[in-house]
Amino acid sequence: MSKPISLLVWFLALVFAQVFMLDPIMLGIQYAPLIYVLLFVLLPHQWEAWVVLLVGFFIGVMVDLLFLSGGIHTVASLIACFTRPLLMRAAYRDTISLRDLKIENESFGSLCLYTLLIILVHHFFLFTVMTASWSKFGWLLGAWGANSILTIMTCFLLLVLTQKTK
Amino acid sequence: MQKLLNSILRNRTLLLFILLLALSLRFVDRNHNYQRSNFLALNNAALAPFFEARHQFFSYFKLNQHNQQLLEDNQYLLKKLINEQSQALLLDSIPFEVIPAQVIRNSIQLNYNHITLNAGKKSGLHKEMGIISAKGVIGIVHSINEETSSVISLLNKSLSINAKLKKSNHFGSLHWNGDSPNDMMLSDVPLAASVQVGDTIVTGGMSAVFPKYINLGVVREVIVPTNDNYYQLHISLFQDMTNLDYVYGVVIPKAETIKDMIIDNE
Repeated sequence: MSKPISLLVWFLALVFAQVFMLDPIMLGIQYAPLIYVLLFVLLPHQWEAWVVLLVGFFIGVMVDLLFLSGGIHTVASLIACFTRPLLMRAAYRDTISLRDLKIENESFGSLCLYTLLIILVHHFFLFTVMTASWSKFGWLLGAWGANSILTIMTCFLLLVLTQKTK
Repeated sequence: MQKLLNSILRNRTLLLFILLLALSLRFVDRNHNYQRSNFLALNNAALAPFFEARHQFFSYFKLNQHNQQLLEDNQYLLKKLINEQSQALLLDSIPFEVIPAQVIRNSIQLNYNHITLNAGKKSGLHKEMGIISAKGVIGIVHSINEETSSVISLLNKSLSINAKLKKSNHFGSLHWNGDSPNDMMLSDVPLAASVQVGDTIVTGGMSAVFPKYINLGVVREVIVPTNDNYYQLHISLFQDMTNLDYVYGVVIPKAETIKDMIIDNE
């Protein structure tokens, strides 16, 4: 499958699963994994940073519209996309140039680290904007930790299941 | 000029990020102020069929839970009817009717939460109508179209409800401080009132939105401030706001007249 079609399939599948199967309120639970964040990992790293920003903004707006969450996912997605090059450098520090980077040739461990960093950044800003108050810093840390663990576990599982064998 | 253009082009990612971030923060800010929330109304109208389909999808797996809730609601209403018939509490209130609706979307994690209902103008709901469940107050209709309506949830920091102690006529203002979905605050109740943990809080009826004596919750904690003449009361709601399904719009006869009178008095 070509890259753009594969990305579109990922986008539709993740957003559908997020909204139809992993909505915490409809499921009656406090936290649910936010698997749409995996899209930011899957976006081609060769794309220009401004294109990634626009795509991140679009994905955030879509999720906000579907979750009725008034902009918090858009803010978190934008910040995750903006910091993506930094996080990529941190995860793939052995690769000399990001332009030469081929994620499929790198170790699965680096991919997991990269995913973990994006999830942590995204969720931190998501819950910060959600609480919008320093008086609830304790709650923020708890929610950030709990939701991040759920998202990380689900995303790792998805990565393992969809990993192509070399 | 050339230098400026070059500089813009060089920093286009940063500039675009700042622009988009400002735009998304504006969404957040607008969501915090329900009077300016056109975004929400637009969202409601465009995505209502989607939310309805999703609600149907989840409902299929929750039929047992729905039946259980209806059973509990019936039991609760029957008990209330028997109790209140003997106490004739409702005689003091304006008689009202209700319009049934179902919650198809409910947010609880934000500071300014909203609920979407699958009933709109066609069903008889209108803007600023009070929404209740069998167990208590849910919110107030904010924006509406033919098929759906958006309700400002009790879990919205911008909403405050006129409330009173059921056992006396001491009024206060019930609002949410953004903590737990079951923890509300009742302020402006004077220290002269006798308040105890477990006292029931009901609507005060001092508006054209909710009639008197609609249940709200019970006093969970009484805080007596040292430098204020009013209690700070923590209230546990009767209705679990994280688990809503069947709700009712409250039709108050002569609501417009009451509203006009309130405005005249103010």
